[in-house]
Amino acid sequence: MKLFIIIFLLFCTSLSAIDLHLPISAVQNATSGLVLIYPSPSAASSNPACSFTGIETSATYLFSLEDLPFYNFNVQYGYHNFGFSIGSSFLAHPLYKENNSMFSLNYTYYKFSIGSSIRYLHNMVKGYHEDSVILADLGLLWQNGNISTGLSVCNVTHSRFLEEQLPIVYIWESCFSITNKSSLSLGLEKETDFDFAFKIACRYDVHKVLSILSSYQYEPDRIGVGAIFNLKDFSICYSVRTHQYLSLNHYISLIYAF
Amino acid sequence: MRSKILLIFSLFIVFLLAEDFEENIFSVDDETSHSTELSNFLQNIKREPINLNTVDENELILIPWLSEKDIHKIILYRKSHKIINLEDLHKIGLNAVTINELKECITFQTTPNFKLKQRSRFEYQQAKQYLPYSLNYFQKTILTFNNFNLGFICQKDEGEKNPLDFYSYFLEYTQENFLKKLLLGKYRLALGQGILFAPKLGTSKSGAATSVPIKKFNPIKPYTSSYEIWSLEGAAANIQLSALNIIPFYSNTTLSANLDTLSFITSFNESGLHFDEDKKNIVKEIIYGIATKYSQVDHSFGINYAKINFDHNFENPARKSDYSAISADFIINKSGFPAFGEIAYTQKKMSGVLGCKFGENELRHLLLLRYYQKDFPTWHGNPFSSQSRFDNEVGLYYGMTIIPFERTKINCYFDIWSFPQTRYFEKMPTVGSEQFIQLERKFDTNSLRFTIQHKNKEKYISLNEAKIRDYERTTIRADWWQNINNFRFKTRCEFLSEYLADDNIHKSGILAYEEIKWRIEKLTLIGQVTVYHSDVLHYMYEHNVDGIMQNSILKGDGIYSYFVLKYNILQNIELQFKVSDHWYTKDRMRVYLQVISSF
Repeated sequence: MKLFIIIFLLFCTSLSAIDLHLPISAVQNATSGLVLIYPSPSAASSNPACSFTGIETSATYLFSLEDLPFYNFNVQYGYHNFGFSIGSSFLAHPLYKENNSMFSLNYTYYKFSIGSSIRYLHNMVKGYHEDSVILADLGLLWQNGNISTGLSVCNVTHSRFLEEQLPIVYIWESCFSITNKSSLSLGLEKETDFDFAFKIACRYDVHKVLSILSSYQYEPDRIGVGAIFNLKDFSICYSVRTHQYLSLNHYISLIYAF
Repeated sequence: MRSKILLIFSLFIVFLLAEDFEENIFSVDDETSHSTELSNFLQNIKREPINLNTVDENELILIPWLSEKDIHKIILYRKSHKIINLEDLHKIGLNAVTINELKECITFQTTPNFKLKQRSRFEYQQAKQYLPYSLNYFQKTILTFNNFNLGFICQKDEGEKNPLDFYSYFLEYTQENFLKKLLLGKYRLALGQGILFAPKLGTSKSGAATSVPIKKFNPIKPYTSSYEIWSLEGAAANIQLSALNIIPFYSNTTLSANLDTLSFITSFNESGLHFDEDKKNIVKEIIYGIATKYSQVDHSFGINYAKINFDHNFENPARKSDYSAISADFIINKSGFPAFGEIAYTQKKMSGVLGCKFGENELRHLLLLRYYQKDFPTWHGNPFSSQSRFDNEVGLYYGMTIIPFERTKINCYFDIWSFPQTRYFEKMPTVGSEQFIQLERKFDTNSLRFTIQHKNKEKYISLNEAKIRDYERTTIRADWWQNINNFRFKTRCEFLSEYLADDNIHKSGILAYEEIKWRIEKLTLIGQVTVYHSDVLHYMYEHNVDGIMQNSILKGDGIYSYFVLKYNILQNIELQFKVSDHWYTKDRMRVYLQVISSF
C-alpha cells in the first residue's frame, strides 16, 4: 500500500518529485536537514558555504521500502581558504530514477564564508520522460563566537524541467553552542508553493565516542533522531526519522575526516 | 454580588505574591475540575514543605521542576553539608528559575510525628440550585501517628441526599524494613509507566516538558481523591526483600454503571453523580495480582501481573469482562542518561512506552515513544498519551528544556501521533500533532512568560461528515508577574484561534485578566477579573480553595471574576473561602467554603 502511494505520487506529481530535496546523509536525516549543528562533508549539498574536509557515504531504503534505495556520496577538500566538494545522489527504482551530481566551491574570509554549487539533475520515469537540467545553489555562512548562521538558496538559476520551473528553496539556519557538549540549531525552510517549515535540532556529545542528534520539523511534522559513533577519523551515523503516514526513514552513513 | 466583588477589588487593588508555578503544569485544555495526584502533591508540599535535608529520593523525583541532575546535585551536597537556605541551592548549581519554582515547596527543618489533618468543604453552585440538597460537601480526615495513617474521606455531590454518597477509608502502615507498606481500605495502584494501573487524573503534557511526561509514582497510596471512580478497595502491601519489592494487591469493589436491557455494561458513571440510586454500585469488580520490582541505585526492573473481573459483560464485544494482564517495566539511570519504559500484554494485544532523557542541565531532552494497540483495555491505566482513552495510538514525543542564561528557561515539546485504526465514528485512520514553546524570564521583581501552543489534528466534526477536516488550534499567551512586597500582580493576555482548513472556517477569541494576590502572615487574598471576547473555548486555570484544581471554560462575551480568601484563624486552623461569578449572566455564581485544621 505504502509503495503504491509513493509510486503514485512520483508518477502523478512527477515535476514536484524531481529534485526531491531528500536528506542526503544520516546526519541530515537526524537533524531534519539542518547542517550547521554537525558539519559533515555532505553539508555542502544543503549550504555550499559549509566546509568540512572528508568523505561521506550514506544509504537508505526510503520509508523502509526495499524498492526505493537511495545512495549518496560526498567528498570535500580544503585548500587554504577554499573548499571544494563533489557529491552524487542516486534514487533507484525500476520505474523511477533520479540522479543528482554536484560540484561546489566555497571561500572563507575571516568569519564569513560564501559558496556556490552547480548541480546536474537527471530524472527518468520509465515510459513517460527522461530529461536533465543544470541548477545552481548559493550559500552564505557567518560564524561569531558560539553562534553560526547560514543562508542558502537552492536553484538560484530558476532552472526549468520539462517546461516547468523547479522549486526554489531558501534555507536559513542558526546554530548556538549552549555548552561544550550541547548545541541547538533553529532553521526555517521555504520552498516554492509550500509554507515555511520550521526546524529545530539539538546535538549532545555524550562522550567523545558518542554524539546524539535529535530534531523536529513543523509542516510537515516529523521527528528525527540519530547517533554518531566516532572512531578516530571515522564516524558512523545511524538515524531514523518519522513520517506521519509512512514508515520510518532509516539512514546509515560512514564519514571519514581527513 | 458584583458590587461586593468590586468593593473588595478596590480595597486590594495593588497586591501580589510569589508565582504560582503549578499553573504552568495544570493550565491545559482539560475540562476536569478534580484535583490530580500531582496537584494534590504540590498543594501538600506548599502546606507542609519538604525538608530537603531528609526527604527520600523517591519523593524528590516527584517534584516536576527538578531534573535528575538537580536531584543528584542535592543528594551529593547533603551527604557532606546541611542545606540551610536558598542560597545553598544556588551554590549547589540550581538555576534561579528552578529555585524560584521550588521556594514555596521546601524547608530545611524537620516536622513532628503526630498529626491530625482535617478538611471540610462546602460548595454551592447557583446553576444547580434547582436540585434538592444542592450543596456539595467534602470531608477528609487523616490521622498520622508514628508509622500509621488512618483516613476517612466522604463526599456528596449536588442533588445527592446521602452525605456519605461516596466515601474512602484507609489504614496505612509504613516502615523502613521488611513490610515497607501495608494498606487496608481504598487505595490506588500505580505501576511502571501506568499502562495497566495509574491515577486516572493527571496531565501528560505541560510546561514541565522534560519531566511531567515521565510517570513517577509511589506504587500504592491511599485513595484520597474526591473523584468517585477508579479506586481499589481491599488490601495491598509492599514487601521489601533486600533489593526486591513485592507488591501483592487485592480489590473487591462496586462501580456505578449504565446497563442495557441485556444487563450488558454500556458505560460507567464517571461523573460520580448518583441521582438514581438504582444505578449506583451495581457492577462488581474484582482485581488481584502481584507486582515485583528489583531496584538498584541506578536501575530498576519490574514485572506486574493482574487479573481483572467484572460480574457483567460489556456491550462492546471488544471489551472483555474477565482478563489477565501482564507488564514489564524498567528504569535505567546510568551516567545521567535515564531510560525508562513499560511493555504490557493482555487479550493478545500489546502496548508499550519507551523513553529516554539525555543532555546537560542547560539543554535537556526527552524522547518518548508510545504504542497502544486498538482495544487494549484502558480502564485503570493512564500512560502518556494524547487522549484519555489511550488505546489505538502510536506517537513520538520530543521535549526540551533549555536554560540558555541564568534566570531564563525555555520549555518546548513537539508531539506527533497517529491513530492507526478507525476510532469512534471516524472512517479512516487519522493523525495529529502538537507544538508547544514557552519562554520564561525572571527579573528581580518581575517575571515574564510567553507561551505558544499549536495543535493540529485530523478529525470528523460530526457524524454525517463525509471527509476528514484538518483542525488547528493555536494559543498565544503572555503572562507578566510583578512582585511588590507582599503583593503580586499577574497580567495575562491570551489569543486563541481555531481553523478548519478545508472549509476555511476561522474562529478566534481574546482573553485578558488581572490577578492580584496579597499575602501577609495569616492572610492570603486573591482576586481576579477576566474579560473575554471569544468564539472559541478558553481554558483558564484559576485559584481555588486547596484540593480543587479548576480550569474555567470561557466562551462568548463576558466578564468573569473570583475572589479567594485564606485566613489562619488560629495557629492550626485555616478558613478558606471563594466566590466566583460571571457578570451580566444570571445564576452562575459559585461559592466555596473550606476549613482546614492541622494539629
